[in-house]
Amino acid sequence: MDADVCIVGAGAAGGIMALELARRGVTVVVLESGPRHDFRQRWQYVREYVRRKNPWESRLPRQDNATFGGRVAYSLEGRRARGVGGSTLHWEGYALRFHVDDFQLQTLYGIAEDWPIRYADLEPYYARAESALGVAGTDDDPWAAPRSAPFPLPGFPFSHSDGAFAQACGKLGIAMHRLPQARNSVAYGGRAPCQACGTCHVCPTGAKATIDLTHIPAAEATGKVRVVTEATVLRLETDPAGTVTRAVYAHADRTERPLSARIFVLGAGGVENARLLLLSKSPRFPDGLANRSGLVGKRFMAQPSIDVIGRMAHNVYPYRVGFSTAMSQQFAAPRDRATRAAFYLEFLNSAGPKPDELAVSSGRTGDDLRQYVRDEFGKWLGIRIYCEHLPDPSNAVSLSARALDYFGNPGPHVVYRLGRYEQNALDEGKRVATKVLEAAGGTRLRVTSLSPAAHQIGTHRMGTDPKTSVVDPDLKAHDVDNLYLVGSGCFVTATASPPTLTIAALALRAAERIAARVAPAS
Amino acid sequence: MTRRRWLQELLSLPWVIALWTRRLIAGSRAASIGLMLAPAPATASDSPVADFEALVAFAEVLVDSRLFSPDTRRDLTEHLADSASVDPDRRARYVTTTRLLDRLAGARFSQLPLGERAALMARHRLNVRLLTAEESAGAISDDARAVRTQVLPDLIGACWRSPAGWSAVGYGAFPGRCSDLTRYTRPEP
Repeated sequence: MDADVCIVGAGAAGGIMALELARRGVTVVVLESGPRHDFRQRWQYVREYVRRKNPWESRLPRQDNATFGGRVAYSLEGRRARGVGGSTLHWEGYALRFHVDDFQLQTLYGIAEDWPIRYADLEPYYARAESALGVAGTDDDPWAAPRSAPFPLPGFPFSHSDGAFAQACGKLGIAMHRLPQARNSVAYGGRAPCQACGTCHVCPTGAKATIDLTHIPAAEATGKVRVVTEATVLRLETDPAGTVTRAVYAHADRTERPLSARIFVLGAGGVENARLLLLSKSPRFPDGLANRSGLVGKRFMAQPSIDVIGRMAHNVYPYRVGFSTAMSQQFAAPRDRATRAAFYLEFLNSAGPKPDELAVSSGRTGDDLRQYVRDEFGKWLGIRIYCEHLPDPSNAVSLSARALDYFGNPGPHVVYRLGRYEQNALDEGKRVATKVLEAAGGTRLRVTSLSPAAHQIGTHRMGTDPKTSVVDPDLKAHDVDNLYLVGSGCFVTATASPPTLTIAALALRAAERIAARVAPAS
Repeated sequence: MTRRRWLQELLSLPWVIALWTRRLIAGSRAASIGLMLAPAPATASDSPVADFEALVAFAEVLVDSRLFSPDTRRDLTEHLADSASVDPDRRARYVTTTRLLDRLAGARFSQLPLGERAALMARHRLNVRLLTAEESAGAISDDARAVRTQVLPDLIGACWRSPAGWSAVGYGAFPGRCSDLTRYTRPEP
């Protein structure tokens, strides 16, 4: 055996599990398809980012080849990152717990299905995840789920433009509160406090929690964890009894290399986890590994969002910080969700055109251009409506018939559509945001086009019944005793909250279970 | 700036181009017809745009009507070098622009005083981004069209994305330059 546990993917789920397992005496090899992005290069990445290049772009050609179906093209470009740290390298850092109701949509509202676990089961792990990532927050959300511990870091103060929103929301009876985030409001975990660089997609200071900083170094320092980078797993192989015996991976030279372990964990994201299972067909698993339910890849979810923006008479000073500081959960938690999705309002600190966008679209040059940009910049306020997405069997990740990746394997085919449930909520959200912006004095209101979130959810859902789910509540595959599938693919429903904190909490929980199996004495 | 904002910008680029195209098509009919340019004769400036001097000199008139600071020159040159290295079409347009400017100037365009550059550009309408209806219908050379419809917005966008662009709207710190964390909680001074 090369290790007790082989983890595929060094992102939020895989990286957290690697450290947790190592601390419990388990040896781990992590196979990561991307590189180790040297932190010292972050400023170069920032320069690329502000020039609208994606510094996290996959390095091998065709590595992310994919095809799309459905009414909304769900492009993977920019919606995930390969590398040590995974998509936390470019996440927004919003670290929200789910609500109590989120785990019981069927029981409470007669829609979708309940999770096999409850909020109370996850609460201790939420607290640990917040501590590990360093979540800054304030206990001012009237609808927040119960907490056993305070936020580890003080919340970020409201922005100047939040003041305009607060006044408007006050008039309309909408409660505005802080947005919890895994970003250092003060120095924490050996990382610097945020310095408002405005490029959270690439955090050059390390203030934003990214797994390459928060977990991987500590995991490797235990001596129990080895991270193999630029190692793309091509398939998992099983013995006749249906036990996974090895992961077959390759570097850029395409030479196949085997890695054996007692237990395998897929933490490569909702799309790649599903694709890898479907690529790992065998006589025993003709429809793909762990897919006797036929649900691998099915019920793909990604929360849709739209922005409503309005022009103010005065400068609101946007683009001085890269994240939002205020939100309202008023339309997410205390709500009858039988016919309308939950959504939250995110009060944006950056909206409207930037100077270059104004300049390019103006058609002006010289002094006339300069004066125009000076007069027009900074006048726009925006509100994002971030909406729950229900599981729908027609939304799915499958193997593409047309797109091949760098290694010659079929890429993912992603089908994404929204239904009436989501559209009702988006329409309501537009109306609410319009009222808020008008109450703030906004004019020339506009709605941006719909943007599905960079969260890939639901493709190997958890449950207690092997016929209707892929993994059990411990995230172990029903069909394969030594295979665990972690990350947001295991979510039963998407909720209106970003998934990362829940991914982290579930990863901690699953690591405990695995460690108890592998090293019961430790 | 967040991942969603970045994604939105990425996805909105075609919209910007479409908007720009509509503006070009709807350009003022009152404006005069631009010069029809003859094929470029071989000149000393047929060499590749190794130093981007002509493009920087062109941008100085377009964006600022004054000479750039060394930092702004450096930022723009970095943008040009970066763009040319990854986008062969854009590189070809840069070469076309340099040749066109040098030919019209009868010398190195970059070596002309600012006022002469501005006059030359005005004479040949190279500082006008919108095409007239006649120009849209074809009364303009392909080279001049490429300069006005593609290189010109590229240069303007790059300059306004730079620190100098942010400075022009009163920001000493901006996406990519860190500052005091509490700055975002109050108006700019």
